[in-house]
Order: sequence, then C-alpha cells, then structure tokens
Amino acid sequence: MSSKGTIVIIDDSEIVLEQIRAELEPLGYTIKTTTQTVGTARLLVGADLVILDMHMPGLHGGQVLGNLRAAVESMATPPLFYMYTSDPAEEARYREYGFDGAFTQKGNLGSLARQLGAAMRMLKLKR
Amino acid sequence: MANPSKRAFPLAAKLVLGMALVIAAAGLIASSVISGREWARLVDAKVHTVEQIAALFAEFEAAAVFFGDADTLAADVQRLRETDGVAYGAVWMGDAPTPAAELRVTPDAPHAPAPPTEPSVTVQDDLISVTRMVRNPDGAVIGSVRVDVTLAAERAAHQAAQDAIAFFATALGLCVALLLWAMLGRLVTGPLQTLAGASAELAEGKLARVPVRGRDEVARLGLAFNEMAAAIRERETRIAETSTRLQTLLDHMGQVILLFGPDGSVEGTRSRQADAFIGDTPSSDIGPLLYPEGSLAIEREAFDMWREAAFRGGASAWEELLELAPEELGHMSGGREHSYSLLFRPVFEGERLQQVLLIATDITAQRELERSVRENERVHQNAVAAMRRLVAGGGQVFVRFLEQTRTRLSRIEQGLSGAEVVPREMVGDIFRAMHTLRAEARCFDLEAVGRHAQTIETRLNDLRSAKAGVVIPVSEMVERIAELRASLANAEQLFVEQSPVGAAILDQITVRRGDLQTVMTLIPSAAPALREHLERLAARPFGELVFLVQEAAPRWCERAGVKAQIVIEGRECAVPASLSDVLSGVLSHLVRNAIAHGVEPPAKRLAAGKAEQGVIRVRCEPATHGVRITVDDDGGGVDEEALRRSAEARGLAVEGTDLATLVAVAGLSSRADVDELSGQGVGLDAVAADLSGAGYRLLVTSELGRGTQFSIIQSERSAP
Repeated sequence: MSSKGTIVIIDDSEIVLEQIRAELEPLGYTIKTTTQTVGTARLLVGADLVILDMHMPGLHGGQVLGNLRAAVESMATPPLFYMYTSDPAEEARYREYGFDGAFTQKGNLGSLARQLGAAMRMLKLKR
Repeated sequence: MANPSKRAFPLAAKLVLGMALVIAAAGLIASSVISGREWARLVDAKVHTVEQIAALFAEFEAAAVFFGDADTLAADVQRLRETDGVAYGAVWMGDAPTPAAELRVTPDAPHAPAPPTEPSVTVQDDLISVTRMVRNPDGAVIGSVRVDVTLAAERAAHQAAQDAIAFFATALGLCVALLLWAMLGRLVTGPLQTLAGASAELAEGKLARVPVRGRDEVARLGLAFNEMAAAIRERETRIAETSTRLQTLLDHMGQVILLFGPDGSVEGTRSRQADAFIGDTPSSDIGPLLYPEGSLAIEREAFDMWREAAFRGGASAWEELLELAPEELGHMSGGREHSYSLLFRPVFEGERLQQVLLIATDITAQRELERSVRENERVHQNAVAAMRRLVAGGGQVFVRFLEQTRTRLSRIEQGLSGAEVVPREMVGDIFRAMHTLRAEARCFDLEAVGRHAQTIETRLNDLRSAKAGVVIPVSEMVERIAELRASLANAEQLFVEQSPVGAAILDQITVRRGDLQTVMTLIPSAAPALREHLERLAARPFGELVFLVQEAAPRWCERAGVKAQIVIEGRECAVPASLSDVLSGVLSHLVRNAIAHGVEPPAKRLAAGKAEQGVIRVRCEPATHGVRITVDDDGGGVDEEALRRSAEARGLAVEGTDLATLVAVAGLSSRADVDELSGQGVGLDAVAADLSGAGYRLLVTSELGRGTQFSIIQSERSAP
C-alpha cells in the first residue's frame, strides 16, 4: 500500500508516541516519532506534516517550533507544523505561535486520525 | 416551438373561417360570372329590340319625312315615350343639321346631336343608341332617326339580383361554416380538447381516461391514449412499488442518504436515517450538518474546501477529487459519538456536477469492536511478552508467585469458612494480601489479576470507611476470589503455552550442569539408583531442545517454497544429558531435510490429492532404554531405487545397505541440483556420527508417496 503521507510526531512520552503510531500506521501513514527535539531536523526531510506536543518538560512548543522552522527553511517543500493540545485556549492561539494548524482533543486517538486526515486532504487540495 | 401558455386560436375556428371564406368567395365569383353573362345576354336582347324599334320608327316616319310633315313627326316622336327605357328619340329630314322632331326623356339626353349618316348601334354607359336611315319607296335616303334606350332599370334589377346572390352565398357559407363548426366540435376538436385535458391530468399524475366513440381516426387516437395512459399507470405503479421496496431497503440498511448541491445546501433526503440525522438541526447546509458546532473545525474546513473543489472541477476532475473526500465522520448523537463511513456519488448534468449523493453508514459498533480487539490484542501481547521474559529467565520466580498467591488465597478462604459476612478482624489481612498481589501482578504485566485484586481492595476499602452495620457477604468475597483464581489460572496457562517445556516448567528448578557432573564423578559406581536420579536431574526437557527448531521452521518453509506445520509432542519428556548435547543440531538437520526433500510444494501436494499444507511431526517419548524421538513427514517419501542409482553413479558402494545407511552415505537428494537447505549429502552421516557418540542411532523408514520417518533410538550396545 502506498503511504498516505509521512508524519513526524514529537512528544516527550514514548507511550503516547507508540499509541499514536499504532493508531495511524494501519491507516497508511508513514510515522516517524521522536522524544527529542535536538537532532530532529533529519527526520523532517521528506515529511508532509509534523505534529508537535505543546508541553514537553522544560520546553514550550512555540520555542521548539521556531528551531524546527529554521531547520526546514532550505527545503523545497517544507512540512506543515501542527500543534497538538487538549487546551482550547491554546488551540485558538496556534497562529500566534507560528503553527500552520492545531489538532485538538489530545489523547483521543480516533479524533487525531480524523483531524490528520482532514489536514492531509487540505494539503493535497491546496497543492 | 409555440408557447402553449399563449391563448391559441381554436383549430375549429380556423377551419370554419377558412371554409366560410372559401364558400363566400366561390359564391361571389360564381354569381359575378353568371350575372356578367346574363347582363351581356340582356344587353344583346335590348339592342335587338331597340334596333327593331328604330327600324319600325324609320319606316313609320318615311311618309311624314317625305312630305315634310313636321307636326306628324313631332307627334310620332312623342309616342316613343310609351316604350320603356327610351331616353331620347329624334327624326332628321334630309341632311338637316338639327332634328325635325325630338323626344328628350331624361335630362342627360343629348342636345342637337349631328344627324346620322349611316345606320349604327352603340352601347355605352348603360345606354343603347341606334340610328337608322329613312328611305323613300325607291330606297333613297331622305332622312334618319335615332332612338336612345337607357339600361338603368335593367342595371338596377341586375345589381339587386347580384346583391341577392352575394347575400345568399354569404349566408350559405355561414350556414355551412356553422354546421362544420358543430360537426368539427363534436367529431374532432371536442375529442381533441378532452384528450388535451386528459394529457394534462396525466402529466399531473392523475388517473386519466378519455371516452371513445366510433372507430374513426380520432377514436383510434383516444384508444391509443387510453392504452398509453394505462401503460404509464402500470409503469408508475411498478416504479412506486420498486421505490417503496428500495426505500424500505434503504431504511433497513441503516444508512444516512442525502443529496447536496453546489452551495452546500441539502436538497433532499433518501432514507429515514437521513431524516433522523438531520433531526432538528436548524441549518440545511451540509457542512454544519456533518460538522456541527463543537466538532472538529479542521474537518469542516477540509470538507468545505473539498466540496467547492469538487463542484468546480466537474466530471473530469471527480475521480481525482474523490480520493480527497473524507472517508469517515465522528458525529455526536444521543450523547455519544457515532462513527460513520462516508461515500460520495456524483450526479452530473453533462460535464457539470449538479448534486452529490452522500451515503453515510453507521460503523460505530464495528469501530468499537476493532478498538476492543486491538486493546485485547495489546493486553495479550503484553502478557505473552511478559511470559516469554519469565520463561527466558527460568520462570521460577513466576512459579513461586503463583504458589505464594494460591497459598495466600487458600488462607483467606479458610479464614472465611463458616462465616456469613467477612469478619472485621480479617479485613486488614485480606486488604494487605490484595495490595501485595496487585503490586506483584503489575510486575508480571498480569492486568487481569491486578484488576481483580484491585476490585477486592476497593470493596474492602469501602467497608473500612463505611459506618458500622455495613457488611460484605462471604459469598461475594468467595466469588471474587474465584474470579481471581481463574485469572491466575489463565496466566499460568499462558505461561505454560509459552514455555518450550510445557507444563514441566511448573515443576522445574535451575541446576548448574557442572555441579551435577562433579557430583556424578564423586558417586561410586556401586550406587546405580542414585546415579540414575542424578542423570535424571541432568536431563533436559525435550521442549527446550526442540524450541529453536520450531521457531526457525516457518522461515525454512518459506525459503523452500513449501507449506508445513511443525507439530511438537512430548515437550515434558526428559532427554538424557548425553543426547541433549547433540539433539538440537540433529533435530535441526532432520527437520530441514523434511522440509527440503520430504514435503512437496503445495501445487504438487494438491495434484497428489493431499492437503496443501504438509505436517512434520517431532515426537519424544520415554522408551525402555532412554527415549525414542521421531521426525516424520507426510511428504513424497524416499525413492530408494533412484537414490541407489544416484549413489552408484557417484561411485559409492551401497549394495546391500539399509535405507538409513544409504541416506547417511549418499544423502537424501537424488536431484542433480543442490540448494542451501538440501545440502550436499554430507549432513546425515554427520547426524549419525553425533548420535552414535551419544549412544543413539538413526533408523529410516519411508513409503513412496506417503512420507518418511526418522527414528532416534538408543544403540543396543549402550543400553544397560
């Protein structure tokens, strides 16, 4: 089966990453995960979309995003960056932080799958 | 095409008017022609009469002219007045320029006309003018006469007759037209109008039928209409029945089916579920309907973007865009989220996408089942992984956990026996036991055991924090402990299944082999019973020795292109230490041989009437001396003759040897090609050598087409 897209997920919890992988891989996505924010740039090559946890220990998603944006600056087609949060107030500020979009209801994997599907469809429609 | 909404001039009126005009015109033309002819005849007759009068007048007046009697002439001219129509009369004597006598009846009669010089007749302006010469008896011209007769009276009569003809022609035309009108109305336009009315009713879906009289064309048209209407009614009835059946089917399929247009408005529902889905939603727009307030905004945004692109793209882009349509929908209904799979079907008008049919199927139960299966699978995998870790570590910690837990549970059950309710003094002990059990269960990833322990713990906690008088019946506690025991038994079963030695693992302890060897060298040969027990201590369970072979066999099968099931029997059987040292290698070789040379490829097996998948059975059982191990397959068997020929062709002396020796010397393959699995005929002799060193030997029996069996038994010389 051809991949529906390459998704990079950055979260500090291995368990969360594994659960997301188990949910999304059967749907046809190529999933790359990491708990690190250092050295993540190589994972972003060829990625369509990056899902970034807003709250990692000692880090704020907005700051991490700035570094990642700088890393993909030279790419012909840089990935989209989506915030992943369960806080509606924070979700409303995703543009302010510099994200391309926000995935809500963190922890609800079915919901994440649908939101990711919608984001990928929009990406292809825009292209 | 004419606009039917405009008031049309009735067909009958057109026909009648046309007919009336034709009749009237024909009447007028005919009367004109006839009257023209009659007029000419009348004029001819009148001319003839006037000629006769003029001739008589000239003859009569000859004497008076001859004698120059002017008085007689004047009197005679006046007598012309008695003749109808005479307008003027005159008599000339000789060639006098003025008439000797003249009669002027009408004011427009000529004044002093010139005397005629010869007889003449002129007809002009309804006036006949005739001149005649007056002659003496010798025939000499002595004078002339002129008589003018007007045709005014005839003209008037003729005109009156013509008017009468025109009137009657018009009247006749009108009568015919009216008659025609009545006939047309009754025979043609009336039935046609009825037909038109019936057609309009039919178009409105009403039952329509026209009365049919006679057998003319209109009647046939009416019959044809009635037949057509009946056919349409029948077809409509069938369509309605089909539609009802389809609707019932759609309703039973439990799908939400609705249509939406380019602007996103819902333009119709096609199932009961669609009506229920829409419910009291105020919006008739598909976007808010699928993704109402509170659902995921990104999904609605993506859907709206897709809808716009789909309607803009039309037929040519539909297939490509369909891949970008949402496939699933989460929708809150009745306080819980339902999952729907979405299908979109286009309704084109030419190239233009006119509507989209949405078919949404409720797959909530399916999704919940999938999640449940996934969760159960995850729990099972965790448990299996935990058990494998335990097995790899010898498993004795887990066995001890099982024993201790059962002991604790038995102790609790003993304490509860004979009581009606859980005694307060036992609550603390049971609580602590469950708390410990839950923690230990977590160490072994035993989720079910931990969950049961926690349930008891929570129940006891309720009791501890409750007011006096609250009790837990012993029956309830016993039931909960039974559930706990059952989940422990499941964990034990899983542990045994994952163990290469099966249930033997529950009765096993870890002993260093070096320690045993040392003890055996210290035991004097005069103590055979003790030596036997020590040898049994040094023995290894068969399952442990065959474990790796069983793990690797599926890969070997895949590589060889065969399908085979490996069945292991006698896992708990103790294999003597001497044999256990070489057995793993021996079994590996024999099973690989069975896969490479025994079990046929699936197509060949099917052609031979066998199951597609072969069976390789590896079995260990206690024998009179030591153990007996067999590896048998249900493959093609050994073609002994071909093998002998192959060996002889290679210069090997195999005459008179048994099959075991033959395969050990020549290998199993009679094929010219050699692959990784089949080896090169040098494996089985090594196997025989290994077994011989351990005091065992290899036997081979085979039946062509049915299979081969290798048996490992203790050599006679090594048997006590």
